[in-house]
Amino acid sequence: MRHIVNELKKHVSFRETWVGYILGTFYLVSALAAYWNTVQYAPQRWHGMFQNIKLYGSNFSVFLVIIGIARIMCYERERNTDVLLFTSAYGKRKAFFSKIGFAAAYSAVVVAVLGTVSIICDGYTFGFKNALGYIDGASGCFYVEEGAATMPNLVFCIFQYFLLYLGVLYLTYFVMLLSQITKRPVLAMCISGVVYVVSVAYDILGVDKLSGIAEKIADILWQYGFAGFMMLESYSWGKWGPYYDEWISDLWKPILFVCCVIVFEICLMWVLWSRKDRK
Amino acid sequence: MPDVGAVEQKGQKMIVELKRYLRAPLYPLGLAISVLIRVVLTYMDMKHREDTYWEIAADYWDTVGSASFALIILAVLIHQFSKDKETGAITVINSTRDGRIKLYFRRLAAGVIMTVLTVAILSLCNVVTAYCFAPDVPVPDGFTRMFVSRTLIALLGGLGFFLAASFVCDAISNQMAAMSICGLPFGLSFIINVIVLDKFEFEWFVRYGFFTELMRGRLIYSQPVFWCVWYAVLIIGLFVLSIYKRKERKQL
Repeated sequence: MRHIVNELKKHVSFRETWVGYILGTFYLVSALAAYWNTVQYAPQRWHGMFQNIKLYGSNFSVFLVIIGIARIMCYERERNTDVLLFTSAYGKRKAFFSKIGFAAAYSAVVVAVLGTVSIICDGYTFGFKNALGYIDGASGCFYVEEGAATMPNLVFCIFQYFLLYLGVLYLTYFVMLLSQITKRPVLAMCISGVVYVVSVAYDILGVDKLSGIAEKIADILWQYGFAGFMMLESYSWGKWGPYYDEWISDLWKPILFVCCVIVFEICLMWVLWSRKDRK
Repeated sequence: MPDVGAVEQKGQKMIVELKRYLRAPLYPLGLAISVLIRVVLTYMDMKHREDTYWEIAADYWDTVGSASFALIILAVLIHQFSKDKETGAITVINSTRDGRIKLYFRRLAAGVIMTVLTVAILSLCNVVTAYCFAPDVPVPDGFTRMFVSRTLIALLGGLGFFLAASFVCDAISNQMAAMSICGLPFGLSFIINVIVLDKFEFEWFVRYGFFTELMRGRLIYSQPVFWCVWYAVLIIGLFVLSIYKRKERKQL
C-alpha cells in the first residue's frame, strides 16, 4: 500500500496530471449541461442515462487515463533512477506491482467519479423515478429485447460502469505497455489517442465506407480493441442490434476475453520491465 | 555595410535549430504515417468513389491533413520549447550569452519554417498520391485554384496553431500538458455540428476559436472580423504569458 501511495505522489507531481484534471472536469461539466435536458419524461430518462457512457463517459475516461498514466512506466528511466531502483533486493518487483496497482486504482477512481456524478446529476432531475423498476423495453434500451426485463434500471446503470471499468483497464495497461516500449510518454499518448479516435470515427462514420477485407479488419479491430469495450459495443458479442435475448447468458465471453487481454498485457509488461538493457 | 560574419553566424545557428527538428525521429515518422493513411484512403477512393475522386483530393485538409498536421505540431515542433528542462540542460543553456531570449526567438523562427515545410510536404504528397493512383481520371477545372487556396488557409491556421501551442509549451515547460491544452479544443471542434450553432454561444467559440477551421482549409464566414481580432488577441496574449513566465524564471 505504501508503494502505491508513493506512485500516487509521483503522479500528482506531474504537471500534465493537473492540466488533465482541470480539462476533464471542464469537459464533464459541459457534457452534463449539454445532455441534461435531452429527454422529457421518466421512462426515457433511464434510456438517456444508459447512453451516457457512449455520449461522453468513454471520452472522459480515455482523456484522463492517457494523460495520467502515460508517464508512469517510463518516469524512472527519464530521470535515470531506474538503475538505482533495480540494484535493491526487491526494487524491481515492488516498483512494478505498485505501478500496476496504482493504475488499477486510478482507473477505478476515474470510472467511479464519472459514474457517481452522471448518475446523481441525471437521476436528480427526475427524482430517480422507477429506479428499482425493471428496464422498460419500449424505451429501446441497449442489449435487451423489447419487453424482456432483465434487471432494475439503477442496477443496470451501475453494471454498465463496471463493464466500462474493464474497458478502461484494458486501455490503461495498453498505454503503460506503449510507454514502456517507446520510452516516451508523448509517443504513447499520441498512439493511444489516435487509435481511440480512429476506432470511434470508424464506428460513427466509417461503417458504410469500407468493404471487403478492409471492412472485416476494421470490424475485428473495433470489436476486440479497447475502444469497443469502452463504448460497451464489444460486450454485445456475436450479435448486433437490440433484439437479442441471450445477452446476459453470453456476456461471460467478452468479459473473459478482456480479462485475458489485461493479464496478457501485465505479463508482457513484466517481461519488458525485468529484462536487462543491452550494453 | 552589414557584418557578413555576424549574419553568417546567425544563419549557422538557425541551421542548427532546423537540423534539430529534422533529426527528431518523430518528424519523418509522423509524415510517413500521414502519407500512408492518405495512400490507403486514396486507393479506396479510386475503387469506390471515382466520380468525386479529385474533389476528395482537394478536400485533403478537412480531416486527414489537418489532424496529421496538428499531431506533428504538437508531438514534434513544440517539443524544443520544453526539451531543455526535460534533459536538465536548462541551467547550462541559460548561462550562455545567447541562450535566453535570442534562442527563444530563433526557435520560434525555426518552428515557423518547419511548419511551412510540413505543409509543403503534406500537400505535395497528397497531389502526387492522387495522381499516381488515378492518372486517367481527368482533373476538373478549378482544382488547382481550390487546392492551393485551401492549402494556404491551412498554412495560416497551422502557423497560428504552432505559435499558440509553442507559447503555451514554453510558459508551462511541459509538452504533455501543452498537448492537452491545445489538442483538446482542436479535437472538440471536429465533433461540433455547425448547423445547430448560434453565434456567441459556448460551442460556437469552441468550433471556431482555436484554428481548427483554418487548418481544415476553410475560412470562417460567421463574424470574420470578430475572429481576426480574437486570433490576434489570443496569440498576443499567449506570447505575453510566455514572456511573463520567462521573466519569472529569469530567462529573458
